[in-house]
Amino acid sequence: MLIDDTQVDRYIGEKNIIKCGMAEKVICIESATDALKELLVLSEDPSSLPELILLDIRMPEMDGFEFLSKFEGLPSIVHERCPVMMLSTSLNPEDIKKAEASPFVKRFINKPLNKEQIINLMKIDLSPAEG
Amino acid sequence: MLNKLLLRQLQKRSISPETLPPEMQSLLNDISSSYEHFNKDREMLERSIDLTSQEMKELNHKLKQETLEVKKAHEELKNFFMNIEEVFYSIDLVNYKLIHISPGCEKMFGYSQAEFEANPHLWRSLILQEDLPVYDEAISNVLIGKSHICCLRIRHLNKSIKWLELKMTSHINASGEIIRFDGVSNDITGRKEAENTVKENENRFRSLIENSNEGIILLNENGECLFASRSSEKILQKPHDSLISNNFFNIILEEDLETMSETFRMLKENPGETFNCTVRIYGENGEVMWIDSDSTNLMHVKGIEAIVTNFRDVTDRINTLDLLKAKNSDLEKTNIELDKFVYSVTHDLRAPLSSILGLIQMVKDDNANHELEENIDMIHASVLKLDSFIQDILDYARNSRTEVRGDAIDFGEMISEICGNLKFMNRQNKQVNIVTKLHLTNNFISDKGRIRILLNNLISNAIKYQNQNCPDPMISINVDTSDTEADIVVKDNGIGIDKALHDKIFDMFYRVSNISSGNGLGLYIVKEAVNKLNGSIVVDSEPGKGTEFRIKIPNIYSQNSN
Repeated sequence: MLIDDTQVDRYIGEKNIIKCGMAEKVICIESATDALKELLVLSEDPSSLPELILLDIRMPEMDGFEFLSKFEGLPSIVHERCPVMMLSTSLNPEDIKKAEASPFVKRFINKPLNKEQIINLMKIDLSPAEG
Repeated sequence: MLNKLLLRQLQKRSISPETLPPEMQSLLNDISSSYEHFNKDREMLERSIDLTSQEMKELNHKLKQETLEVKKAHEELKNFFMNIEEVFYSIDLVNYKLIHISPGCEKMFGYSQAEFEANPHLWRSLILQEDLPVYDEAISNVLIGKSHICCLRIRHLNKSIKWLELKMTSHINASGEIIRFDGVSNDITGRKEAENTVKENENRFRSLIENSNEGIILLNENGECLFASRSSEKILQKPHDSLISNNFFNIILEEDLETMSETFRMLKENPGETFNCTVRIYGENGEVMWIDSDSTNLMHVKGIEAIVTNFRDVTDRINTLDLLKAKNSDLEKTNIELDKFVYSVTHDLRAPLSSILGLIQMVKDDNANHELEENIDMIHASVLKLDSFIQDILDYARNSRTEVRGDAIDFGEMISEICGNLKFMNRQNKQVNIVTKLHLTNNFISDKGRIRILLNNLISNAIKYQNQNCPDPMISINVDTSDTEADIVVKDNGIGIDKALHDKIFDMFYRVSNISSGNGLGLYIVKEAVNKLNGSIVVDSEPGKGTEFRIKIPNIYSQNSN
């Protein structure tokens, strides 16, 4: 699942992920609120849950960090199945610190999401987060 | 046995007593015994005369000695009278004549006894004019039989001024009439000078206390005021009467009572130590004043036996401090905002660029030509977004840095120019019907650059956030100018803004919606520009119905002509 308000970035992300064969399907979602709703719906059929969530930080209405605090309230099956990776052009060390403090966040990745990064991502262990 | 003298007489006459007839012998015996008696009496008398003369002698001697002593005493007294520094004098009130005056007068006044005796008015003429009432009061007391003591100044013959202490007593005769009075005058110039020095010193200290900006009060252990310097009345804005015996706990703000009680407790437990405390009190008109005080418990010091408190009004200082604190927190806020600004700017500058980079990478990787055109379109949009963001930054920087200028504003021309530029803003949007109504009554002078910034932002927002479901999106722009201000209203029938968010929309980088590609700077810049122009902006909006922004900008023209 790719959550990003910028249409171009969603497009780039989706194309690259599919081209690299990292995933067969990318759920592209424009806002954090919609993503939460979608995850709640998908949690009823855990097999349909995404294997990875790529989350932008700076978004209108609800930003990436707010999403993470609401994400905690989702059924635990979602936490088990869906590790989160933060995706941003932010250089603010506060943002990086905050992201790493969250138990759900596996990685902090700088945009743009290119092929090399995706290939690297495919190498790391994506086993579910503890707790 | 006959008396010896009688026997001698008989022998002279060659008479032998035994030869005499018995009658004669008896007579002779009687004579002899009488003689003996007489002789005894004479001897007694003689002895008594002798004794008396002895006593007389002794008495006479004693008298002589006493006379000598009296003479000596008189001599001493005279000597004393002649040489004593005090001047004694007696005045005959019947004849108003100086009976006598002691020679000390020469030293005290510079005039001789003879001069005083010759002129009964000399004495009074030496008294300083301003002290005459003191003397006259003394005399009037003496004349009714009272003793009197007074102090006054005289002018010595050598022009020097002397302080004298006069003691006067009157004498009454058998029929109750006052016939004379006696007086002693004493030179007390030295004492007076010492007294004056003490008084001057006291005055100096007093004026130090009174005129100091520090108030000084003495409190008892309950907080009741025993003494308050004049400066305390000034500082506390309370009359002396209301301070004395008033309890200081009564004028202190309730919030500060605990501080005061705590200070009092410390004072009582630690005699001699100084404690500082700052409390608020109510001033004369109910306003609150900050008082900073240093108190020392001197209950144990004899003559003071109080808590001595020095205090000062620190209202201004504390207000300034508060102001500084407020300024400081403003600065901190500005700093945080600036920090946020820098990161957001770098983020927002980099975001479209990273999109471009991603697209370029894709074009390179993917040689399929059919997607090329689409990709290039997206590159184009990203670059446009970056461009408009950089322009906003420029507007912001220009607004915060440059001084407000005064230009004549032609609203009609400006609005049509802005609308012309915005026509091709976003190809996805429908064409919006813009209706402009102008009521321009007078020359309107303001800052052209800033007016353009705020109109441009409001109109482009109205276009961006139009309601896609609305068949006839429209914007109405009304401008009313008067001598004093311009009233600008930009109203649309777009998507609107939730009331709960109205407070946030002017915040830096706050974005309400992801429908359009805003960067959260536009309304912040509008607000900043309005502030720079000393104007005001209000928003009225409801989701689904539309939004109205009303701006009022003062006309500098009227300010200049006034």
